[in-house]
Amino acid sequence: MNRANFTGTPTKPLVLNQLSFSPDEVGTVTGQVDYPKVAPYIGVGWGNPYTRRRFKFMLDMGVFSQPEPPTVKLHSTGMLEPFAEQWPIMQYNLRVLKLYPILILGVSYKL
Amino acid sequence: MKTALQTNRPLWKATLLSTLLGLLTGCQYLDDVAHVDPLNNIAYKLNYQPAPTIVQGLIVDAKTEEPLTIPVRVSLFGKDAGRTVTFDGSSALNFTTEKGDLYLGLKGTSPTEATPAELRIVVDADGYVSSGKTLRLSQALNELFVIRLVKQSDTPVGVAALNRTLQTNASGATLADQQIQVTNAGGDSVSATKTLMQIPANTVLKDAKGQPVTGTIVASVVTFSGESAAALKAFPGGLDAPIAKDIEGRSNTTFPVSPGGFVAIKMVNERRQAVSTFSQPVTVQMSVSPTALNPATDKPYMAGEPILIYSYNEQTGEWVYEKQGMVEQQGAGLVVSMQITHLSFWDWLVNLFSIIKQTFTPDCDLNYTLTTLPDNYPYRYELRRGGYYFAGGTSQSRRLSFRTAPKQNFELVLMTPEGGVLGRFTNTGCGNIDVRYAFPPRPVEVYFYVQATCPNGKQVEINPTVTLFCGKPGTPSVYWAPTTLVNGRGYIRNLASNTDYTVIAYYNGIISYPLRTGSISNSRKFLYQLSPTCSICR
Repeated sequence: MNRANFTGTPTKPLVLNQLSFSPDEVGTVTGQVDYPKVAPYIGVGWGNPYTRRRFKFMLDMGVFSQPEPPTVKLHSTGMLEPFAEQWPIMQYNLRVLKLYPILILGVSYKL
Repeated sequence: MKTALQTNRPLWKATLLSTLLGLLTGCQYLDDVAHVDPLNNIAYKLNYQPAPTIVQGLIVDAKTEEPLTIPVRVSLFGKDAGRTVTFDGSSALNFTTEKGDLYLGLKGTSPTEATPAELRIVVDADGYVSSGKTLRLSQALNELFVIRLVKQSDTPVGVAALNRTLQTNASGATLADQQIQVTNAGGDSVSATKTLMQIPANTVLKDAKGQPVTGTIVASVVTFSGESAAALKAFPGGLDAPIAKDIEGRSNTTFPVSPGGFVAIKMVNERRQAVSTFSQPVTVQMSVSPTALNPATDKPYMAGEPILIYSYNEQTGEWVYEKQGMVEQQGAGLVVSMQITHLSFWDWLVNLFSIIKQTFTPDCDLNYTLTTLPDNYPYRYELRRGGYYFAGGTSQSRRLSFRTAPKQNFELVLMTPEGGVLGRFTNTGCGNIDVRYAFPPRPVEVYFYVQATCPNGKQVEINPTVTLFCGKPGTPSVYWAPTTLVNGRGYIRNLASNTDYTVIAYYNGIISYPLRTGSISNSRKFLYQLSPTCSICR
């Protein structure tokens, strides 16, 4: 958990004038995004689970915070090998993913 | 009695307000999150080597030894010419470079010693005498080749040039006798020589297709002395050019020529139609240097002695034996005359096999092994044969191999890339020569990271396989130590500490980087821009 993996592979050859590089020659980019395992949450809730009504509604609204933005690891092969040097830029692009708003709506029915 | 709600009204208001603010901020934040682009400002970085086999070359002015800064027309021939590509992936056999640098790749399997690739490169530029070189490639990353072109208006010592216009009628026949005399003043231990070209009246000039060449024709006659190192370095095809047909009628034998002198003649009309043949013989008379030795007698040539005459095919890079000439006395000097019916480079040769046929060995390998050379240690070398320049360049290899004539006195001169002599080593004859020398230590190495970007904002960056040349400012860059960096990364080693260098890459001209070495090794980034027309930027 707290991790996303991705893989990018060219679907067609890279053609430069009379040169053609096959997808294998161009290479593959694989990546991994890791989030901290513990994140504090703050929120407000509305609703009463102890009411005697058959229909009950609840609302929970808040935000959990990552102490740090996600970390990115890249690995690339072939001609794309230097692409892996781009991880700091990608990590910077993901810096806004530090706070995650949460909105929970609940409905229950008593049989 | 006030209700609880009324009692806590300020608290409720504050809570409501906070919630609204939180929702508003949260919505904005949600919008930001929705627009997260992980690839924003990401450049597409690529290692780039257009083909498994790479060779780079320079076309330099024979006098200044600086790369040309004008367009150079390039034609490729040879069995592997069809496999060549330029830096940006074009595979034309005839193309023009912006300046005097060439980057060629060879598609397909890389050559080896057992299966070498052969490429013949002919280059030409406005105002220069065309020349070429035959490359024999036996590895994936090859050393730099240099082709020296003689500028007709500014020739090096030992080379003289003259342009003369002449008229032909509608049938391509000359209107009067034409006489073109080129005087080579000599200097720097090079004898003065004269070359005379006589074209009789009513000689029909035809091109390679047999069509008459009419109108005003510019005849360009350039003579090269065999005594001049600068002229020998500019020798068309190099001094180890193959000979297609030797004196004994053998074809495709490789024999290194040792020219006494040669003349390059080019005749072109205003429509760039070039003269290839004459309807009747044209006389070319060349001086025989007083220092040229007849290999049969080991003494200077004398009147009445035979001398061999070859012509040069620029497209094939081959010298073809034409005829045996006779040395004649003319005033105080000696000359050799020849009757020619086609145009080419013509020369007379000093070599061994003219007389001593029985002992003639066409192939003779001379291999020097620099046993004590440190790894990646750049040096400059020059091989002299019989006292004359035979070959030279800059290398980092422990092995220097030459194919040459046997039974000669050889001198290998090892120098620093800046030209300071390290040592001289003499030997007679071919074979394997072990050279031991205590090369002075050069302790600093600098890691280079080479990156080329597109000028048009396209976010592509490449790490090209490129050769960097490192040398001291003010010295000819053609002798600077080359280091080929695969995928743009690697060390330039064996540099002196606390010394000023310039590092250059050739890409449509010179891209330079000033380098001051410290006392310890370090790293640098070498950046340059690709041409906007480069395929990777389109």
